[in-house]
Amino acid sequence: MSDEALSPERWAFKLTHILNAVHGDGRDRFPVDVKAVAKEISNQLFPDDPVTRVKGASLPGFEGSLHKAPPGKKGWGIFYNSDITSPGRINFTLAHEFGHYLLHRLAHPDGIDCNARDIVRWESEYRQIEHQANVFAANLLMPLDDFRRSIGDQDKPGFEELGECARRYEVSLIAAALRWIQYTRRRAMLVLSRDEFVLWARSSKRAFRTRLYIKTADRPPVPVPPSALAARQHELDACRGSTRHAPGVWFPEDCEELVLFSDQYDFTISLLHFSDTVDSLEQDEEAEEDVSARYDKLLNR
Amino acid sequence: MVTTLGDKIRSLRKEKRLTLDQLAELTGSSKSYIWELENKTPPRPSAEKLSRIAEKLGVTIEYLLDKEATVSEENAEDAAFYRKYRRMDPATKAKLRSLVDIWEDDE
Repeated sequence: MSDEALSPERWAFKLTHILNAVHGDGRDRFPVDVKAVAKEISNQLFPDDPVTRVKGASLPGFEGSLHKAPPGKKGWGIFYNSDITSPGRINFTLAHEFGHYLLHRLAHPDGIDCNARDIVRWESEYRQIEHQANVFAANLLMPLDDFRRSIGDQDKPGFEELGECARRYEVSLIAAALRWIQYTRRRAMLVLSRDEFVLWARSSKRAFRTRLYIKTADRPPVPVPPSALAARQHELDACRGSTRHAPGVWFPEDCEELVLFSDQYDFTISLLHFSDTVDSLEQDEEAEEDVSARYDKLLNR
Repeated sequence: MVTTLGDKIRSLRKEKRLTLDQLAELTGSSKSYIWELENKTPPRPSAEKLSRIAEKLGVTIEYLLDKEATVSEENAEDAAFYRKYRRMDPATKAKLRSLVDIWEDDE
């Protein structure tokens, strides 16, 4: 398999291995210095076509972009808006653009030709490459093995622990929380809301399997339950709070809700922790997984 | 700064210190309809509703509506992966283009 065909995850693993070897003693391993990594690693892997520039400037309304060098100059440049006040957002943007360089520069050597005739196809393609760049960035900045050492997959973190990880990796709290929800073995859910409607929600695998999820795409706005803490902002102390809910508030079962209100972005993050019981439906699926995992091991021996 | 229809409605509503409920009542829409306009920017919103919203927020409907999202060919050629491309204002685009054109080497 050539490098060019690697998935976003594989690219991130590859770079993570290189960085782990470079920082063998673990010092200065995090946060990932995306500016240096983009230049050095692209120069090692693709000396004829590396990232030669990473430049910030005051660019209102802009996040970042990847550009081919003008004629007579070599390689690619990543440009970003240095006005953005959150270092976590800048870091994620840089990693996202570096992802575009690794994953998409060959398929789009002159950029994405967007013309009115083809706007629908371009929209869906654009969404897909954006998603791939985000997956790459999350995997590069927050390697799972390291994340698990801070928050185990059976742990029940609050916003303090997730915030510590966000600082370690220099990413936003949301980015760190989404990363944790991907690997946790607990049943948990993140719900982002504004003005008492759900912007989006993400469930852990086990929560999803036990029918705990909120769908928001392509449907009318989903209101936050009136007795949820996310709908009772006036009761929050210093923009945060937690409470236990009886069954029937968020879902037919009881849960613990931790809430954080962000004044800067005007949204409320709810972290829902559900009990750790396993119902019969889920056990079936787990058993199936175990069988297929054992089968894989047999095949790979 | 180019902002979306939703951002404009939301910031004007907050300037006027109106809640979602209040703006919905003033304009004869449902609370969830206004929320959707502000946060999801649905395609083809009702012109009649928009004009009532514009009126209550003290702006013209032209101000609320996004400029037609078009990408001129010269930009598509020199830009690789613009994120939120269609949300950049001309001044920012021009500045970015000059940065790319100059392409000084990093110190």
